[in-house]
Amino acid sequence: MLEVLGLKKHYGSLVAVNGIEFALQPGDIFGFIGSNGAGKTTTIKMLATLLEPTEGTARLNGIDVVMDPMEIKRRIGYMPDFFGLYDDVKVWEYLDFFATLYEVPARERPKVIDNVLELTDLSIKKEAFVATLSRGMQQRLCLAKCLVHDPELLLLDEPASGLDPRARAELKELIAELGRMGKIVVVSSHILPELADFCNTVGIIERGDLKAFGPVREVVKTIQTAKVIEIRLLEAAPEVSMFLHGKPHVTNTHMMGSTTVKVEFAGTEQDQAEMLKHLVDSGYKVTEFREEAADLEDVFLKVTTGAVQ
Amino acid sequence: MSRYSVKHLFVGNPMFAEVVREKNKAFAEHNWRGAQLAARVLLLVIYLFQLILTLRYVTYVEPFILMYVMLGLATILIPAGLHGAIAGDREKRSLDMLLVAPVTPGQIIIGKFGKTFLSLMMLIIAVGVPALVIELVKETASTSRFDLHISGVVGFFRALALVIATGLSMGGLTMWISSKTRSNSGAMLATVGALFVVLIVIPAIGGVMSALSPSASELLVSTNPFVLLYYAYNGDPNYGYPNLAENHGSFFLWPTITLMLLLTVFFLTLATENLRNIARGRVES
Ligand SMILES: Nc1ncnc2c1ncn2[C@@H]1O[C@H](COP(=O)(O)OP(=O)(O)O)[C@@H](O)[C@H]1O
Ligand SMILES: [Mg+2]
Repeated sequence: MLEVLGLKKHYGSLVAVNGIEFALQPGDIFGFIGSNGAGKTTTIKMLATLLEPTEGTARLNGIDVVMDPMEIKRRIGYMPDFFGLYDDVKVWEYLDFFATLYEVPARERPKVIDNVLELTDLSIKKEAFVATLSRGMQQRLCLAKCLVHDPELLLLDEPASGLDPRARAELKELIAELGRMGKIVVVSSHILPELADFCNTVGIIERGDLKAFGPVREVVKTIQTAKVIEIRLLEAAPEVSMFLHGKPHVTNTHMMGSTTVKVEFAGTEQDQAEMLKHLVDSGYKVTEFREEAADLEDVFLKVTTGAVQ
Repeated sequence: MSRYSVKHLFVGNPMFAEVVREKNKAFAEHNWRGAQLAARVLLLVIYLFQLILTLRYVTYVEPFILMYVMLGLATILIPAGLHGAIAGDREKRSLDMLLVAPVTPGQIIIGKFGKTFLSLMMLIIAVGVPALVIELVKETASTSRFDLHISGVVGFFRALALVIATGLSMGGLTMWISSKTRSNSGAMLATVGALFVVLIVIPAIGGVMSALSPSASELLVSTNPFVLLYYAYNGDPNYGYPNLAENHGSFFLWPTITLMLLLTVFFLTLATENLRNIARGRVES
């Protein structure tokens, strides 16, 4: 379990990370979302022991990042946002070097290297020189490096940036697999659609504050200010817009063609049921009545443009 | 693992994997093809040719010239090989990967220093091997040595100690510079500057000072490794004038070597401290 406890980082008068708190369980894939300069890298570096927090700390299975960085290092894999690999050696030699640093016993190393190469789909490149790998392959090799010591927590800072769509899709699959292996995976991005579909938990950070945190659906719900209900009628009824306009909790209505109306609604589910009953009682033949699923992207835009405080 | 534990730097330091990485690099197949292969073969031929030639004309060769070549190589090659040790990783953005691994900054410094120092020192010693062979041949042939009173073999090892100590201290200085700079070229420039000061400015000051302060000047000159090397190899000549400085030139040998070793530890400690600050994010990586 990863517990982040009031993590704070000041650079002079600039507050890069403002006391954020959250917790993750094994198997969680956490999408850490925020625009450029929001504080993602700063947070991840503090978790990776590469940056001393101004205040607060984090614990991985009870081990404190600030008090015992060496123990933390043995349990995490960190992929920086920008990185270079030693490119004058072969792929397996690169991994062998890091396996040695992570104290993988010499006789287990060949097996471990084969395993991580297989997992990252690089087996055929085992004997290739690192310099000859494409950007996507280097990204995967870096991830393979992060896995040689079977870490409990993976910190991946903008892993998808600079990848073509295909490489990105492969990376997503790989990250999902790591989640299934029971690791805690933290993936940051400033581009939301990259993460929305395979994370089970998201956090939205803006100017150092964690604005929202939780399972994707819950985050969407808490952030959402008004829900949108789409109503379809059997017969054309342009006046339904007027009919609904003055009703309780309705903040706005739009006709979408002659049989469909979108209603911005601020009430509870009970109020929603009342409105439906009212419609039916008034003789409208309702064929469809559904809440539009607001997607994470809307939420992200709302949060990061300051629509939600 | 205490912060100042010395043992963990040398015993079970995982960073010695650097030696393996260096070996893999040197023996990579692509280095055994084309121009690389040609250059290596040529170097080997030159080396063997020189070896055969010195052995053929053993009685005419002054072996301690080779010691000067070694000293020259140690003062140039070792800084050249080490200037990018930390700065290069910083520039390539591969340093963070080392810093998140479970190794201490001290282990990283020793691992990187050790790898380059050992491989270059092996090369440098290879250059000096003919000198030792000549001395051994001369010793067994018991050729008398004109007015010098130490054995050539002992002289060889005294000179070698000086070469190694000089290489260590130059290497330590270079590691410190490397831990302070962010790019290979910056580290290169600063290292060349440091070499200039050590090899040219300080001896020049020594020379100029002889008018003002003869004893300080003598100290600067006598502890200069290029001056000391002569006495290290040949011992003190006895010219019959008891007070002549040259009579006790080798007096400064062991104090200078000790000083160089202390400087090495000092610079490597500074480098470790700098790397520790980078590792904790106090200085940007
Ligand atoms: N070493 C530093 N010194 C001063 N300010 C910094 C430093 N690193 C980051 N910052 C500032 O901290 C804020 C957060 O940066 P960062 O964590 O890199 O954001 P993100 O990764 O979300 O794009 C930014 O305003 C950035 O300018
Ligand atoms: Mg960033």
